[in-house]
This record gives sequence, C-alpha cells and structure tokens, in this order.
Amino acid sequence: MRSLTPRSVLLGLIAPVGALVFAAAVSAVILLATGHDPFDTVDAMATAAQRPRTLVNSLNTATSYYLSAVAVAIGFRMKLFNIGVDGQYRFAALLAAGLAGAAFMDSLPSFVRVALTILAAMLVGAAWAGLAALLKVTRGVSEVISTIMLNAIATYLVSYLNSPERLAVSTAGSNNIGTPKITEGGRVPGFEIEGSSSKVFGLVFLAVLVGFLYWFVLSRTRFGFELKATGLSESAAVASGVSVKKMVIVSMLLSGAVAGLVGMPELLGSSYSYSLNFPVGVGFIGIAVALLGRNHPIGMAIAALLWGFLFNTANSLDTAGVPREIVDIMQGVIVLSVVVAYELVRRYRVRAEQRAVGHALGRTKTAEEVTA
Amino acid sequence: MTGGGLSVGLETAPPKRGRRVSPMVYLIAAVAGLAVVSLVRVLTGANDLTSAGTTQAALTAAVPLAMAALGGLWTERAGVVNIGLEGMMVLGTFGAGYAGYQWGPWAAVVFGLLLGVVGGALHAVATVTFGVDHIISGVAINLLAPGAALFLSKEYFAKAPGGGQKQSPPIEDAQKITIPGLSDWLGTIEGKHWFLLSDLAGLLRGVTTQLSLLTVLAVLLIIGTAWVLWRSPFGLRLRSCGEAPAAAESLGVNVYRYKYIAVIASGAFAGLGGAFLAVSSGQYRDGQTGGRGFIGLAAMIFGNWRPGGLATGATLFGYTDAMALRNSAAVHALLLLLAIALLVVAVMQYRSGHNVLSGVAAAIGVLFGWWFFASDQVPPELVGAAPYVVTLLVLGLASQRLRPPRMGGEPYRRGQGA
Amino acid sequence: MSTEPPAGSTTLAPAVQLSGITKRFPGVVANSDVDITVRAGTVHALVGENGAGKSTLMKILYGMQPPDEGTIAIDGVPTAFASPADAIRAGIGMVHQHFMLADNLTVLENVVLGSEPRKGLGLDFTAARARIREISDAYGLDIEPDRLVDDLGVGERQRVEILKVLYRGARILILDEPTAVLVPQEVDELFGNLRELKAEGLTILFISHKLDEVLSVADDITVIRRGTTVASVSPADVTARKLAELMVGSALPVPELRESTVTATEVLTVTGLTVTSADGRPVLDDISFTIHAGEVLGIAGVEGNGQAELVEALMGIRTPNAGTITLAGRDITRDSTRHRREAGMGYIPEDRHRQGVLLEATLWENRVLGHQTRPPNVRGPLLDRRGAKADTERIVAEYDVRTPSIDVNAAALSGGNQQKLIVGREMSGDPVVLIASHPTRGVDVGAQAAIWDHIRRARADRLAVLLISADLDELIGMSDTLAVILRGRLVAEHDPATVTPEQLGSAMTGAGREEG
Repeated sequence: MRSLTPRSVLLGLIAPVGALVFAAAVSAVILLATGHDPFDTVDAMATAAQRPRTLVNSLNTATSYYLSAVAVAIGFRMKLFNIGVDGQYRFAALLAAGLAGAAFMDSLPSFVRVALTILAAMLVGAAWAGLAALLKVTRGVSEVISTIMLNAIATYLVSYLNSPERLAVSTAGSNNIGTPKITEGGRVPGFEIEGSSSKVFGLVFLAVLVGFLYWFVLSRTRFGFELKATGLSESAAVASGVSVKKMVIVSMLLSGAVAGLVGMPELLGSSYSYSLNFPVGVGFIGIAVALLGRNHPIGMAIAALLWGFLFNTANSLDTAGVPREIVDIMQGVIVLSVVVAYELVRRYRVRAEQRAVGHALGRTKTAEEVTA
Repeated sequence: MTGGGLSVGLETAPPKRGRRVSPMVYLIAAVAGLAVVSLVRVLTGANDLTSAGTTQAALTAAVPLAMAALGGLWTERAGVVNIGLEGMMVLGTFGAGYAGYQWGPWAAVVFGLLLGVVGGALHAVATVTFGVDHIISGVAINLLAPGAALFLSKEYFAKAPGGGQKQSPPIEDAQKITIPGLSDWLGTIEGKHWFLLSDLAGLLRGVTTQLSLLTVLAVLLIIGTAWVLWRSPFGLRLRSCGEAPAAAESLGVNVYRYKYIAVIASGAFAGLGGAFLAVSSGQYRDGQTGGRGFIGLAAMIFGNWRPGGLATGATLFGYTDAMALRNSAAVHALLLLLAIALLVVAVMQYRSGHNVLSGVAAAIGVLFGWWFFASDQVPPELVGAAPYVVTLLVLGLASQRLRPPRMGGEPYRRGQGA
Repeated sequence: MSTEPPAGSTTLAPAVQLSGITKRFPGVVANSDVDITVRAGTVHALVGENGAGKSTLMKILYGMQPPDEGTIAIDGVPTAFASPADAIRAGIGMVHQHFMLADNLTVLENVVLGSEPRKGLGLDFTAARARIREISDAYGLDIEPDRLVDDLGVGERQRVEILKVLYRGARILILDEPTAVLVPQEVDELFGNLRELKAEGLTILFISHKLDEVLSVADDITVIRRGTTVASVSPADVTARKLAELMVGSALPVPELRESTVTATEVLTVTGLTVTSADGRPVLDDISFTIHAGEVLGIAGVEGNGQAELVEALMGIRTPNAGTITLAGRDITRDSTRHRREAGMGYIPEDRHRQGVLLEATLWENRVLGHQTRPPNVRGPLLDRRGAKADTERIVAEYDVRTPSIDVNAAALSGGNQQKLIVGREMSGDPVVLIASHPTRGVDVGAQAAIWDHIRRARADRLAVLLISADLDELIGMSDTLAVILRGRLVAEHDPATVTPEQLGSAMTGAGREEG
C-alpha cells in the first residue's frame, strides 16, 4: 500500500533475493562437502531448463503450487494458519476424482462434468477446513493443531477410500490403484507447445483467475479490509465492528475451497485419476510459496514458478549423479532464511519510518510512544 | 492453546482449573480403566487386548512417540511451539542409521540425538534470535529435514553393503532384559483368561519379558524430565519463560538462554525418538517416521503438557498402533472402549453444566457404539487415524481441563516486558 | 502522616542518586539530564504525566535499559547496571505496574524464581517456604506460599510482588503506579504496608500521577515533565493544584463549557446494565443513565471500577448479563458492534493501540477502520479508496494531524497525532453519540485543547457524549452531568458547576457517601 519509490522497491526485493543467494551458497557448500561440483549441478539444471518440456512441466507444477499458496495466504492474511491445505486438497481430489470417474457422468455435457468435478472438490476442501474453523470458534482449539490432526486423518481416509473395495480400481499390469480414469468428456484439454511432448494445463487459467480474485477481494473489498484488519490487530478489529468468528469461518471455508482446487489441474489435465502416485505434500509447498511471495498475488506467482522450475529440473540431477534432494534442501533454506530476512527488513522499516516522520516534523516523542 | 494466532473462541472455555488430583485417584482411575478393558475383553473374547505380546508391541511403538512428546513438552513449557518435531525426528532416524550400522545401537542413539540437536538449534535460532513465527519455522524445518535426510541417505547408504538409496544397512538391536522365572509364572496366569487378574499378568509379563534397554532409557528420561522441570531451579526458570517471560526477565532470568536450551533439548528428544524408531525397526528407511512427530505432539496435548500425561498419551497411541498390526478383533473392541470413554466424558460435562458439550460427546459416543455393534471389524486403514481423532475429541470436548503454557507460541523480544 | 526524617539521615549518603541521566531512542529523546536524589529510609514520589518519561527512567534505574549519559549512585557508590540482575544485586527491587507474575505457577515459584534456594541440584522447597512465611509475617503481608497465583485477588498479587523484591533482599523498592489497579481499601492497606516497610528502614520510590495519594504518602516529591526533572518539593509545601501545574508546565488549561446545549431528546438510555466477570463477580452492577442530545455525561472513578466494561458493553464488544441499551428509541442491547456503529455510535477507546488503530496500516486505512461499512469509505461491498483517502486528507487538515503523508503507517505517528486521527475519524459520519474513554490521555497540551474544542463543537451540534476520564478537571470542565462509578455501580451524581475536585475525589473512593 506504500508508494513505489526506488528505495521501497529495493527494500522489498532485498529479502527474497538475499534468501535465494544465501540458499544457493548453502547448497553449494553442501555439494562441495559431499564431493560434488556445484557448477556441474547448475549445468545439469540449465541443460534441462533448455528443453521446452521442462518449462511446460514447470508451469504445470507451478499451477498447483500457486493455488495451494493462495489457499494458505487467505488464512495468513488474518493470522490464521491453515496448515491443513495438504489434507484438504488430497481428500478433495480423491472424492472429486471418484465423482468425475463415475459411469453416470458420461451422459452429461462436458462443461457440466468439469464444473461438477471442480465444485465437488471445492465443497470437500471447504468442508474439511470448516471442521477446523468450527473447533476454533466454538471451542477455541488452535487451528494449527486441529489442521495437523485433520491432515493425518485425511491421509488415513484417503487410503481407506482409495482401495478396490471402495472408490478405486486396480490398474492392470502394475500394483498401482486409483479411481477409474475420467473419460474424454470430463477432462480439460491442454495446449500444445512446440517441441514439448507435454501440454500446458488448461486449468492454468483457473489459477490466473483465482489469483486475480484473490487480489481483488483482498485489496478492493470490505471483506478484504476486514481480513487484513483482523490480522493486524484482532482487538482493534473487534472494536471496529468486525465479527472475528464470522471472519474465521468465512476465510477458513474460502481457504479450504481454494485448497480443493489444488489437485484439479493435475487430475483433469494429466492423471485423470486419483491414484497412489498422485502428488502429495503440495499443501506444505503452498506454505513455502506463500511465505516467499509474502501473500502477494504476483509475488506468490513468481515463487510458485521458481518452485515448479526447481522441482522439474531436479529430475535431471539424478542422472548427473547428484541426489535430487539438494533442491529440497535449497527450498527449505530459502524458506527459513526468507522469513528471517523479511522480519529484519520489517523491523528496519518501522524504525526508518518513525525516524523519517520524526525528522520531517521536527518534534520529539516520548519513550512510551516509541517502545509501545 | 498453542500458536500465536487469533484468540477468538478462547473465551468460550474460561480457564477453569481442576482441583489437584492425588496419586490415589490416578491409581483408582487406572484400575477402573483396566477393569473396563478387561470386561470388554471377556465380553468380546478379544484376548489380545491385554496380552503380553500386545504390551510389548505397544511399548515399542510408544517409546518414539513418548520421546517426540517429551521434545514437545520441553519446548512448549519454555513458550516455543515446535511443529518441526517431525522433521527433527526424521533427522534422528538418519543419524541413527548412519552410526548404527557402523558402530552399533548405542552409537545410533547418540548420533540420532545429535542430528536432532541440529534441527533444534535451527528452530531456536529462527524463533528466539530472529523472532520468526514458531509455526512457520516449524513448517520450514519439516520441509527441509526429509530432503536433507534423503540426500544424505543417497550419499552414504547407496553404496554401503546392505544399504540402498532409501535405506541404511541393518542396525543391530539394543540389549533386551527378561526377569527370569517371573515371566513364565505370569504367562500361566495370563493363559487362564481370568477377569482382571489375567489382564494384569499380561501387562506385567509384557514389561518384564524381552524389555529393550531403550525402553528403560525412555522411562528414565520421562522421570528425569519431570524432576528437572518441576523440582529444580533450572526447570522453574525454564517454565517461567513459557508462562511469563517478561516476569522471568525482570528477575534476571536470561529468557533467550532458557528458550535456546529448551528448543535444543526438544530437538535432542525428537532425534532420540527417531533413533529409537530406527534401532527398533532394524534400519533407517525413508519416510519411516510416518507422522510420529505429530502423534508425539498430540500425545503431549492429550497429556495436558505434563510428563505423566504424555506418557499415558504415548502409551495409549502406541497401543492402538500395536493393535492395528496385530489383531483386528481387538481393534474392533477398541471402538467399544472409545464409546464408553465418550459417554464418561458426556456425564462429566453434564455434571459441570456444559449441556451442549455433553450432548455432542454422548452423540459421538453412541455413534462409535453403533459402529461397534453394526460391524465385525474396523478397516485396518483407519486404525492409524485413532490418535489424531482422539486428540481432536479431547480438544473439542474436554479442552477446559487442559492448561497449556500461557505464552506458548508468542514470539518474545528482549525488553518487551513493562 | 509523619514526614520528619529519621534522626541523622542528613549524614547518610542518599539511597539513590541519579545525575544527568539522558536516554535517546531513534528520533526521540525520552529522558534528558534527569537529576533525582532519594534519601534513605523515605518514601519518595516521582510524579509526571503519562508519557513524561517516568517509566523509561525506572527501566534505567532497574537495569532494563542502559542510559546514554549520566550516572547512577546507590548508597553513594557509583554503579552501572547491565541487566536487572545487577540492579537486584545492588538491593533494588521493582514492583511493576502490570504484575509480573506467572499465573500458572505457585506463589512460592513466583517468589523464588531467579534466586532459588538449592539443595543439591534441586530446589529447596522447605527452605523457600520457611523464608516466605518469615518475610510475610515480618511485614504483615499475609501470603500463603503454596497457592496458585491464578487464585489470588489483585491486592494479594501486589503483596506477592512486594514479597518477591523483599525476598531478594531489596532495600530500595520501586513501585510503578501501584494504586492504578487497586480499590480504595486496598490502597489504604498498601500504604499501611509501605509505612511498615519504611519503619524497617527501607527506601521506597513511588511513581504516580495521582496527586492526592502522593501527598498522603510521600516524604519528598520529584516532578518530571517532558523527560526531565522540573522540581523537587516537599509535600508540606505544595498543594495538589500546584503539583499539577508543575507536571503540566503551565497554568492548567481548564476546559470550559460556555452554555448548556442540553436538549430534551433522549439519545442513549441505559437501564439496569449488569456485567458479570468470568468468575461470577459483578463488574457492572445495575447501571442506569440517560444522555440527551447536546449533553456530555462525565463518569468519574478510580480506574478499574467498571469503566472499561461499561464502554465495551455499550459498544457491543462485551455481552451484558442483564439490562437494556436504547439508542434513539431503539433497543440495541443485542445488536452487534457493527450495527451500533452504523447507527451512529462513535468510539474513542481508552487504549488506542489495542482498539483504536492498526499500527502497521496506513493512515487512510485507519480512517476506514470502524467505518468500513459506510461512505465515503465504501461503495457497496467494495472499498472506495479514493473517497477514503480524500476524507483522510480532510481529517488530517481539520484536526491538525502532523504527518508528512496519509500513506505512512500509523506506527510512525506520535501518540497525540494518532489520537487526533481517531477523534477526527469518530467525529465523521455524523455520530449521534460518542463514547469517549480518556480522549486526551497521553496527548500534549495543545492537542488536548483542540480535542476539547472539537467535542464542544459537536455537542453544540446535538451530539450526545459519554466522557470517561481520570482527569477530574477535564471531567468537571467538559461535562453537563457528572456521575461517579465505584465498584461497578453509579454511586453519586454531581453538578459540575458546583462540585470541586476534592468532593469528586472523595466520592470516587467511597468516602463521600459516609460524609453526606
């Protein structure tokens, strides 16, 4: 909300860029210590990056990451920690896949099938998140604890439902099991890219739309204002007529609904089935992406693309003899160092602004006002 | 509750302290609980509910959970929330794998502990020195640790004899002790399937036969923690950092130092938990922890942030874990136990005037009871969810009995008080 | 009251001597060139307005912050404290305004924390218990070591705090606004304890802005204003009025209402309002009053007698257990805070950082706060950023908010300017009733006069105002009607035209009722 001066842009960029550099340095040290050449690693990743297929896959992965980050960020804006995006999206994707793959869906028009699938996923995600909201507003149960528990419960429910006696079928010739394949009419077609065997997910546009709505609702609507106010000071929000309980419920439901979307690009654009190798852990990656992107719609998009790119180029590392987990390490270091860096920049900013205003007005303040 | 987030909803459960309960009451409750279990066993014929084999398996499963829970206790008592326990536990399993196959089980324990310390130190630097939100730092560690462990596993185990990309070569198990004579005699009583007496014999035989020294160590650590935190000046200072850090600082307590010690100790315990897990299952495997760090956290909450409570929680959750692997009839009987427990909660809540809560507890209890009578077995996939469901039920239905540290999860800046 | 110093005290070195203490924070000077001399074995009062720099000074003396310049001498020995631990070793003990107690620990644990008696590696509970009982008996503190602090009342908690510092062998006690949270009997008990401590030869440094209390208990008084010492006086030589003028720096600006604007239209009617605390104690007991259009109802009372609960019940932040609230003929008892605000209730909260502003949001966003459902801030569900910004510019100009821009965060403004922004915000949108809780607290004299002026003008414009203040002159000068709140009840009503601060003061402590 601050005006854009070169100084403020610099202050905004110094934390994420610093964290990236620091993480790269740490990774290089680890590689050296384990007898690998960091430059070979960079080289392998750069070679992979030149393949169009890698870029397409990166974009596709980033789509899920971005949706997950938005789901997390909705809560973060009001200091509500939805750690449960992971369970919400997996549970939602499984049930939506079960619905989309069901035989009766074949008779419906394509548009209705896709819409129903997406709607079902959003409802399931919202309902699962809603449990945590309910526990919070009625019993004061920390959403962190309840969503951690709900994540685990979702894991067991998914493994229970994803079995041949229930929603799943065995895939011939492999020991993979999953929901029945969604037939042609229930899928979302992708875009061909020259030189790449994989297509860009059609649901990339869904992510863009969600990002736009997120930005619009948060910065242009009353609801967004109340969300931000609650995050900055719960007591001031209450005194200003914000019903925090209602905000907790609404934002948790919204967060869960967006979480429900996380699995959709993959489900409707490539796997067409929820099986044992459906991506897991995207909910936690969303937390990392939201942190790196500072809950900002553009910032999170850049962070999601970076994460997607790292994920997809990491595949090339195993062939270069470097364990691909170096990328996980790098991502972890980025997250830890970027939150530290943001905190330091924030403190610096508050002091700098106070000093600037103090100088501009040429007056002194009492100590109480400064330390308060 | 834990976490420095919104306080909305907390006013619904005004802190009401229970009276101090004497050890006698606990003993009576334990005997009553055992009697109920015994009754259920007699009625359902699920003799595995209290067999020595189950007890052994439950203890083995409970020990890593108890260690993670102890880690949670140390850090939360000092006011730092640590959901990175899971990650630190993963580091512990790797450390144990690395040292264990080369130098034996006790080296595994030491290395697991040390790698846990590394994770704890990371969390301490982020949360105490830099004031990063505790949840965020924990999430970051949970992202970082499994990647780091797998990276190292590929580096060090892939070429080791008997190892692989995702698993270490085998580790020798720790020494086990059996009290001679006693075991056989108890076994005879257990075999009679008498009410209560055989159950007691089964439990006793379980803890006196083939008892791993690791389990003994774990019990000592729990008792030691209770003494250090509640009977020593050091522990008082540490707990004061979780209850009123500003007050502690005003009395010259170095809050940062105690928080650092607590968080690092937390990492050490989580690492130990990982090491125990790796040693008792014979090797390090990728993904071995399977959320046990979170179950440890749940056990600590279930145990009301107290050593005895968390030991109970860990044993209970270890017990369901053991049951899931052993006998589906016994697991099925657990449903009835859960239903009875919920009805007890309902009666207690009704008597303290919480009618809505009582109704909800009764309804869920009836639901579990109905599930028991309407089915023949619990799907094995669902049994693992039991600790999490139980914890949610405790939080949702009996949270006014819980007393977490007052300033848990609040970042503390030096000089913040007064 | 005995004020004669113990014989021979003139030859003793002063217990505390602060010379030339200066402390700067980024952009501001909190203390400059402070000199204080505290004679051993006396009660020395340090008085000054909120924000005058008293607390910073005490933090320096207690080792919580180092001074930038100046020296501290204890019993004539120059000392430098790096931490409270050093101060404690030098025999200084601090009783903080907000109790520094851990509720979930026992009295014993709270008292011994940081200087525990040991037996081997463990804590020697037996020795600790004995020592606490001994101190408690010696000074008549009546403290039971094994109780949980959670179970103690306010007065008992304060005695635990005093016991804490005595346990550490403190010879010099700093009490930071110790009476702010006490009811009158507890104040009397505290002063009794203080006299007992003094009789035992301890030195007490007493921080307060309640002048009648200072005059009744202190042997010497130092006045601090704008971060520096302006006078050292003896209570025998000054009146409360003179002390107040020393604190403020000039003849007190006395707010004055020129003529009555009270009309017959009832705006806010409260009947039988009762609020019970979580432990079942009534904090508001059967409160009834009516405010008419153009009327200011002032509520006087010692802090903690139910004012905060009254304000929160009126604003719908706290649910009353009984009673009705009627706004312009409509029952709003069950309405949400938002509906009350939309119906024209303005709110100036007591603690602006807790309830009034978002420190890390811009001024124009703070303009929207509390008015987020009304023009010019919104159009339907959408935020009207342009409208909100334009109106913020208006408030900044009209209310003289000193800021370089409306795009800076509220945290960058001084407290007085934040307060002016709040007043300007709450006055916009034509409120019908204004709930003003300490509207000029911590505000400089110029801003104070401006805020009074704005309230006065709105009153002429038929605004109904509920004014709660600790400043009796403000209450007398601004109110059309004055009521006194004591232990959750409205106990007396006065005509501000005839009442004196002394009369009000005795009514506030409950003494007024016995007298007449």
